[in-house]
Amino acid sequence: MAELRVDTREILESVKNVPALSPGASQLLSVIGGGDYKVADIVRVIENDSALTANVLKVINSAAIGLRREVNTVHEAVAYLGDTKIIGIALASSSGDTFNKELPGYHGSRGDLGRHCLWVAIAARELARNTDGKVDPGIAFTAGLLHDIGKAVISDFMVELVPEILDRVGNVEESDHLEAERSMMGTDHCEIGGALAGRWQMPMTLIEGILHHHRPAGAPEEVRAMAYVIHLADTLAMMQGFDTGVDSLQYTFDPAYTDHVNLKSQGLEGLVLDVQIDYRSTAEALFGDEQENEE
Amino acid sequence: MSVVTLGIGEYGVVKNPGDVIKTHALGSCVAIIILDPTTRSIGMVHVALPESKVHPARAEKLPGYFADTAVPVLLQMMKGMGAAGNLKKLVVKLTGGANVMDKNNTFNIGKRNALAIKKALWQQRMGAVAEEVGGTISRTVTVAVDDGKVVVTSPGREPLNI
Ligand SMILES: [Fe+2]
Ligand SMILES: [Fe+2]
Repeated sequence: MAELRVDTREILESVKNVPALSPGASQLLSVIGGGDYKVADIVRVIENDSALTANVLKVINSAAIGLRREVNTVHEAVAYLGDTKIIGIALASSSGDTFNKELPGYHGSRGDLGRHCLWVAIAARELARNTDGKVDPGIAFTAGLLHDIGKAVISDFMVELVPEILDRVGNVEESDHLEAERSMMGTDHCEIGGALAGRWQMPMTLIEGILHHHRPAGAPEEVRAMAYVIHLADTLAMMQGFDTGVDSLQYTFDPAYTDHVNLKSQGLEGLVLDVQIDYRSTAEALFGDEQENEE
Repeated sequence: MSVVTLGIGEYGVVKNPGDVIKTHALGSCVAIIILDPTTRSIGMVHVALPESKVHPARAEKLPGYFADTAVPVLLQMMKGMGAAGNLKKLVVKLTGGANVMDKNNTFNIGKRNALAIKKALWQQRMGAVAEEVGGTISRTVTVAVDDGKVVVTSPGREPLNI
């Protein structure tokens, strides 16, 4: 065990400095996290938030979507985009700079976190469709989008620790990057993400998904299948190069996802390609061309 | 003078002084780099998966995505640059193909990518002279026409010439 290098309380304190989500976005998350929602519920929440409505209409009418005529109602937009893309728009447009932050403690560039989370979200949604209904695709997408949000907070405290963390993981003094975060800072990006999600008043299911995405076996039974889905989606994202920097592929992989996801390795390879294609069109619609060019 | 950055499944070639070709964050993907000392052109492809049979229709549109279709398309491109009848003189290098931290190695797309590429090269009676593959690090590779050096970098680590 390494000596603590950072005051853990200071990190937890700094969670409070992250701006709150817009009311519309947090309402949307609680509707989705509650499960059993209908498209009409999503439409209603968006319509009650004028900024969110404006953003949804801006994206649906953007060149990336390529519709021939203008769409003027949220209802139509949701019908075209599907509920998961709407969740993406809501979070991307109401979480301020959080997803777009540079991650100096991970050597991650501006936009890496948002791209990684979007890839994981799409992969998690597709994996959820192969769980015999155990995991709701909308919840999986949302939890995927949020899973690494703790990095936006903890990164600033890790800047000086990067070389030592890499060494310790490389020399197997720590089992993986998460273990190293924990032993040097007394906390890790999962726990901080969970704290932030709590502050954003997210439903418990989403918080659990964030907390357990690197150690899915430890998730409470009701959410364990979802934790494995996020865990696998995260691993696939890093394998495909959608990572957030130095921690890429530096996490212990738990192969017991096979208890929850009905895909053999060839099925997963097919899924990776589908995710990649969906990611391209979604990223363009959500982030615009500017971010795609950084790839 | 131009900088060509390849996305997943893309391939390209550069040959003018000052030109650079690169691809970022390979993860378990493998970059095949082909240098032609005669024409001084440099080709590269960013391969994501070992076998096109998981998605034959997609392989037609995006042949660089799969190892078995990427090798022929890259060689075709090099021939187009003037390497015709001269394939033996081409210098092939590989990098990427990282694995996840998994003791049981259940999940080895990285390793399978590298093997599938080697197999496709053998079928053309070719082989790689240098490789920096495997492990659990995600790599970025950059090659400049001016010096022909294949430089592999990873965040937080020293660059490596292969
Ligand atoms: Fe994570
Ligand atoms: Fe992640």
